[in-house]
Amino acid sequence: MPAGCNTDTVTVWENSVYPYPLTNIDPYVTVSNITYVSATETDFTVTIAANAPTEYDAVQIDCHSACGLFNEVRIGASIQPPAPPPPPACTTPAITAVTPDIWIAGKTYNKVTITGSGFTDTQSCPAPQVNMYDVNGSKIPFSNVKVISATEMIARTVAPPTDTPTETACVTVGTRVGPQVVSRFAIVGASATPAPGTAGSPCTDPYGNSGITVQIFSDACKAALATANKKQAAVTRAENAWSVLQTAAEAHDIDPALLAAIGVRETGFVNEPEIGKGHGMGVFQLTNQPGVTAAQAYDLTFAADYAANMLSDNMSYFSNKFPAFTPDQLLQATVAGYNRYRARISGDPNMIDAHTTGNNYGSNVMGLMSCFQQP
Amino acid sequence: MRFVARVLVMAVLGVSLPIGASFGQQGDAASNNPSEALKEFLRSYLNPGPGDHKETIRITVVSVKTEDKAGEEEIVYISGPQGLWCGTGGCNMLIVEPFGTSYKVIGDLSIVQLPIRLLSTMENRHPDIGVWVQGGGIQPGYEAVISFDGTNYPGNPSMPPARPVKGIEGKRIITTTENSVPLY
Repeated sequence: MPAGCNTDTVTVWENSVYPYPLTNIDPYVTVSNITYVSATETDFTVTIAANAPTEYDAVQIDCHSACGLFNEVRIGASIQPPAPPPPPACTTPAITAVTPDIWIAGKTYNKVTITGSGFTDTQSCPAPQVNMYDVNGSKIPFSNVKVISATEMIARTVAPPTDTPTETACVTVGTRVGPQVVSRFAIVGASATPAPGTAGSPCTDPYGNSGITVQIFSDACKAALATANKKQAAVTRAENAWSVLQTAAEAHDIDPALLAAIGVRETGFVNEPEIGKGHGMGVFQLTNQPGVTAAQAYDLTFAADYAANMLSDNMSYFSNKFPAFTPDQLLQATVAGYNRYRARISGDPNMIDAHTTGNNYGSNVMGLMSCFQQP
Repeated sequence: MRFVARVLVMAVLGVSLPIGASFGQQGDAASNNPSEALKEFLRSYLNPGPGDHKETIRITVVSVKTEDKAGEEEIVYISGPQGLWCGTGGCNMLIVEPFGTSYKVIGDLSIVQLPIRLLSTMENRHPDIGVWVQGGGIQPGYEAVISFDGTNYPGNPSMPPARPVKGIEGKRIITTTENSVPLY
């Protein structure tokens, strides 16, 4: 702009391209706040109507000076349709429950419901990545996961392998994933040694994705529960008492899984009296005898310690009496001696369970131990 | 009169009462005055070893009549501390009959709960016995009948040929170990 220029007008001509002939003023454009800044700069505000068509315009800037000088500049401008709004930010998915949360090894589940929040399945926010890892970091085979709603997904096929031991696993959502099979590592919140609330507890998979634990029962556990005519809930009850069992077991140097299995076999791990004419009391079916009151028999801490002591004593007894027993045979005799008078248990490995309840007490309790043990 | 009535009932059921017999509670017919010969036989048969705490063994004995040559058999309930002579399935019960100057075992049951009943039925000239089966995972319990097969009574009342029954007529012969006596 020439020096001394102090009055500008700005006019926008519609649908005008180089060399910018003056057509008609663009009715969709409003110019305001024209400000002379310097000889090379004039600022103004342009307001484009929302319904303005896409077109080229000519912008004419006129400068009128006080001394009568006049100058004119024309430049091109383009009116474009408004930019689309930015996509909404995707919510972070989270799992709060998995149903069922107890799985049997070797069984294929055709509907596992994953409940939570923030589940989407759109172009801008694709379906969450679901991950299922067992406690050893191995993937549990699953497929065909669909988002049903913002709070529900369904996996149509979940198939923990037949050889899966009793353990917990972690079902997560998140995009951080790893190789198909990874080296052994602990899943935070999941464990092969059960602890209270293993199913339905928060967990984090090896890649930092958060989720919920599920409990997997081995095929051997399932078979042993069937033999004992007990339900999986019995295992859960024992798990919920794990700290008590562990304390008692450690005090007498036995496996806490052995105590848990005895409680499952005897009562389904229910602190109950024998119904009818039996004399047993509490989870471990202690009898009222010198050294054991009824109140003590129903006190889980006392009863677990008393039972652990009997089992430990049995183990020493049979270890001395039948030194040729293998560890498994020794364990079987130890357990059988909890059910029947131990002095008459045979040293013939094939007859250890003879004359126990169902002729299977020792072997069945050992099978039930697989509901609690690491591989 | 009450004592006489009991004697008459048990005579009908074949329960014999050695001299000096006493009754336990709840109509218990346990005589519990075992002969020294019987006790000696039991000591030999059970043959407790180191760690068996033989001093803890107690026995409750009832004699019942049979139609066999011996004419009677002894029901022996062996009790003691849980973990030694009893387990969660119950205690040991022996059935012995006189054999020469001693006895022979015709029944050795591993897991017997009380009560034990003398039933009104017989097999092979020996009375059927009802024993309670409970514990070791069996809830609720039930009464199982053991029958003499010509040689022995079955050894495990929780398994065939012992069979669950209901409503068979009989007499409770051992209901408690309160009157038990030490074997040693």
